[in-house]
Amino acid sequence: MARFFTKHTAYEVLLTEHLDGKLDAAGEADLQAHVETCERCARDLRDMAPLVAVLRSEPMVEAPRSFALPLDIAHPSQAHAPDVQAAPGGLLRWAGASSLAMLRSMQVATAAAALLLVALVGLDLSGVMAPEPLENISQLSASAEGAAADDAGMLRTSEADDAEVEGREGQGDVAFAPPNPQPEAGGQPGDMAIPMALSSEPAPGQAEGRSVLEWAKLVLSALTAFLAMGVVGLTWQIYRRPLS
Amino acid sequence: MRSQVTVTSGPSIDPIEQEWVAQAQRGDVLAFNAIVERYQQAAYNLALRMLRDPSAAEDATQDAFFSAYRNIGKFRGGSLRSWILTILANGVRDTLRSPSRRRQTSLDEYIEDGDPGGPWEHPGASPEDEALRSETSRQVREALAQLPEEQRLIITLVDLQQLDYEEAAQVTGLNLGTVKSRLFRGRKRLAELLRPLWELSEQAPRQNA
Repeated sequence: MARFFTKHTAYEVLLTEHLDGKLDAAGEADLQAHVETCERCARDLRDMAPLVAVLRSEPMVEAPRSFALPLDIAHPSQAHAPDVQAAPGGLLRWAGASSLAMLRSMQVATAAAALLLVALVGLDLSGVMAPEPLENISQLSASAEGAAADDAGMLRTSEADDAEVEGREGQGDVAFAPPNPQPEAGGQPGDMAIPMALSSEPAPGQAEGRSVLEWAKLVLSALTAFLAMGVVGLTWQIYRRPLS
Repeated sequence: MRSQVTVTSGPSIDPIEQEWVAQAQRGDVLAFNAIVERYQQAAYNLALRMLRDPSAAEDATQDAFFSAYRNIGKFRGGSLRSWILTILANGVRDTLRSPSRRRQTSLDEYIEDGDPGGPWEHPGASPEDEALRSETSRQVREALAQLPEEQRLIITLVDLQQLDYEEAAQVTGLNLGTVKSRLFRGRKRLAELLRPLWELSEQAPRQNA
């Protein structure tokens, strides 16, 4: 069916496109030539140009509330197979495909890291991994006496061995070296084990435990902060408003 | 004319929205709510301009998003914004033609001039200029309310929401020529309504260069 355009109708379309910046150079020239000869179109152009500017600058009203759907809403029917256009390849596709999944993963990881950090701080404050306090000095004294008794016992054993050896030597030549009292691991023979609490330096095992705890707290703090920043950034990226 | 929801055209969808749609089609409400978050302001503004009743606009907007979720499987790509506004426009038309439609109220108490969320940014304007713009804006809103429904819809989509012709054609179900023609008539009608006011008070805004 043939369409019938009046000449003026065609210029109305050109004028509309001109006001919206959609007119090409040829159309602009044509419209300009017409406006110079047509008072009606000239007046329309004069009236509409500022009007369009005002309309374009009208403020948007903020939505009074969120229109998000409840999470327990029944999912839509799957009768229509999803037929979304194929996503572009490469990094853009990966970024688009995993953005929400990545956000969820980072939220879970941040929560887990924060909980673990709180647990470590709680352990530290409760003193589970700290050395025994100095109030138990009676126990330490008892342990020190016990250690001294052990050493004395070892010394008497050594002396008895020596006496036995001397006796045997008196009976004959028995060439064997008197047994030396076995030194404690890491110490010299005859040394008393010094209780840790009475020493200004912590035992190596306990010092190592504290160091590990401090490092763990430091690493978890940094990890939690990093993940939290990632969640904030990704949330902003996903939920930012469009420009128009 | 009720426009079809399944037919889409216009700019292609961006990858993140594409993923949201795909997940929403699999029943992920969280993904669909991300779409809602992005377009709810545009949808609410369209409903408000058309219905001139904030309560009715809220209902229409919420209904549109529910309907969009139920029909997300029919989305075939293209402009997601246009698709959502199409659903909204169809619902708004039904509301406007409903005999139980509520009385319209003035938009002035709900639209604050100089809303920071919109394009109204004149940081260097004097108080007198701001007052002039505020009054001009009020006059434009009142004149817009007097337009026929279809012209008001086109003006709202193209001039207020700044959709392009193709998107407006999709939302309204009209061809491009009819969109431009109604746009011209709507603007002309607005100009006729405002000319006496602007000539009387000499408030005609300065024409852009």
